[in-house]
Amino acid sequence: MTRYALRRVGFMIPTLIGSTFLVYLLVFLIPGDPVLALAGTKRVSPATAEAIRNQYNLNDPFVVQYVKYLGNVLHGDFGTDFNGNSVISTIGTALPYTVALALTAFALKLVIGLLLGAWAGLRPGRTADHANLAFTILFLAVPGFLVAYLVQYVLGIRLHLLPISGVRHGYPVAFVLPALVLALETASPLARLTRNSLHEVLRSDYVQTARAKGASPSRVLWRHALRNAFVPIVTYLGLSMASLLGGSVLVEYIFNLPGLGGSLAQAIQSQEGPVVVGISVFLLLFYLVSALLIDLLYPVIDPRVRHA
Amino acid sequence: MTLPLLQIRDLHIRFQKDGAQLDAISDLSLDIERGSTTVVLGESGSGKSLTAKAVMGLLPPGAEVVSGSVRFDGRELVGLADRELRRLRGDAIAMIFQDALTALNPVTPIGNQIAEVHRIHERISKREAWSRAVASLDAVRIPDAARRAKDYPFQFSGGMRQRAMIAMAITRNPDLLIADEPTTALDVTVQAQILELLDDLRAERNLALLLITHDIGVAAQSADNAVVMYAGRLAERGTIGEILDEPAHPYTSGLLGSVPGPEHRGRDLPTIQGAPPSLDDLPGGCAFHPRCALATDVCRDRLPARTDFTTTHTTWCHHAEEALDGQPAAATV
Repeated sequence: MTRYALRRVGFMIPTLIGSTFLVYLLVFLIPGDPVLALAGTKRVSPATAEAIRNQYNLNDPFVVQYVKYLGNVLHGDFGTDFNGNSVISTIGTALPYTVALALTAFALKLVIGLLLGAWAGLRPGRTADHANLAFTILFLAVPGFLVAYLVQYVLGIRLHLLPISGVRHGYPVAFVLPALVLALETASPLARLTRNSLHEVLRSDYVQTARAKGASPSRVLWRHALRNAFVPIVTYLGLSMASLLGGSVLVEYIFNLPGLGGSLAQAIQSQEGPVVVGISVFLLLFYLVSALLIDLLYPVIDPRVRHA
Repeated sequence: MTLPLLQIRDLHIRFQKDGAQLDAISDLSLDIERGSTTVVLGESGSGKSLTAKAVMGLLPPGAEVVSGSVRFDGRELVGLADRELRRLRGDAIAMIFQDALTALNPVTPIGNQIAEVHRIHERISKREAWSRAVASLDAVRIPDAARRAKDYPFQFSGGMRQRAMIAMAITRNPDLLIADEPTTALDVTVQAQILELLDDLRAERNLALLLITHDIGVAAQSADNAVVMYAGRLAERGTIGEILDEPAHPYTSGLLGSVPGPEHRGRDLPTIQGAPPSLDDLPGGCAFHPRCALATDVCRDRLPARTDFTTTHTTWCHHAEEALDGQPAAATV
């Protein structure tokens, strides 16, 4: 068990380093001159431009830039943006909003996905099952931003139930709608998986064995079926944190939340490499830690992993 | 004369499938005495497993008993409330399945799975249930049972898993043990050990064994009585000696003829031509007639009536006398 945990933590390090490289490379490859983008319509003297380039190592070849950056990061220095603010302080301000949004959405997603999936899985071929399928297809097919605007319009503007923009109302009120939009989108595959997994498990031989032992239907469900049905679900939950965070970038933008997503979008536009990489690293770290926590549940549920 | 432990009379089970009604089991009658071993022989789809599930009250969705009776220890099981059936299941009637790997819960230790049977049927402490589970594992000859009880199914070998299944089934000293192809998933040496174990347990505990198999060798090794099923009906029944030595149904003869033996060395093994019919396309008359060498017009038109040779040996064939004389009677290659 301890070895399993250590191995999982060990995997995080190369993942983190590899992804900083990829993100840095992507920013480097964006066409255009970041200094000119920064200046906008103002004229910049060649000397000033050169000074800025030197300050941000923009004249170095890509690999040198990257190694210098990585060296700084390892010393805890994530660099500064073009306005001179440290990337760390930008992240420090924005991260709590993103974490609050992601965790709320995750909780909502669990409730919606598991309940809907279990309901359908217990009644295959009946109304609950069809409702589940309709829900899944609808929210998988309709793009998230469309759902977001619809929810804003109906629940926010028409019915005045909840705020649709900003964080003036604080947690949880300001986060309900964005978290709901995010949860609806990612609850669909969860509901589908839960339904199929439970359906599969209920037809399995060991569930038949449990019945042959004289177990009551509720014992069969709680002691035998659900725990087994959870094995693939837990695996999926860990992986799905990525889509939750990816979706949060868009949802933060639509609902005007000052989280990492907004800062990231801005930094990509102004080609501020250190900011993009810094935020990406923190999003990734958040993903890896939450996926790790979920993965640590896995051996608790499935002994085959524990003894592997 | 005492009542048989299990008495099945004119059992008729119907399947609903895509709106059509299929007769999965028809006119099935069968007696099982305490402490005896009865094998049910037949190809896949002949209704062997469904018969077992009907006795357990575990028919799959869509299947239902239309008529007939299943009496266990004098008590009618057909129509019994599920609550009452659950009291019998795992307690007085137990069942083991073909593939112990899938039939055991993968995420629960073996010992807990056996102890659970006691906790379902009796108010006893976890400790007491656990020690009974270990005793049962010991009874099925699992070495170092106390330690191995903590293992998970994936840590057991195939033969040991089937032993664990048997331990789970006999742990409450049932009167009837139904074994559905218990050795099919195992290799031959392990098969023999499992059959021997089942036979020893039967003798020690006066357990009636209903052994479902398509393996004549398994039947010959352990059975007192045999029942041959074809397309949901009885083809023949008798003592194992009568069935093996004097088969009076062309299907039985065909099954016996297709068992490999030394006399087949270097030659093609005789087989029964064709495949068993599917339930939604049963031939009229005797369902075996398209594959039968003795088939005549009457076989195509009418269901065969029963022919009794002895008080135990009965066959359902229009040409029973002929089948009894001429061997092998089925169409052979």
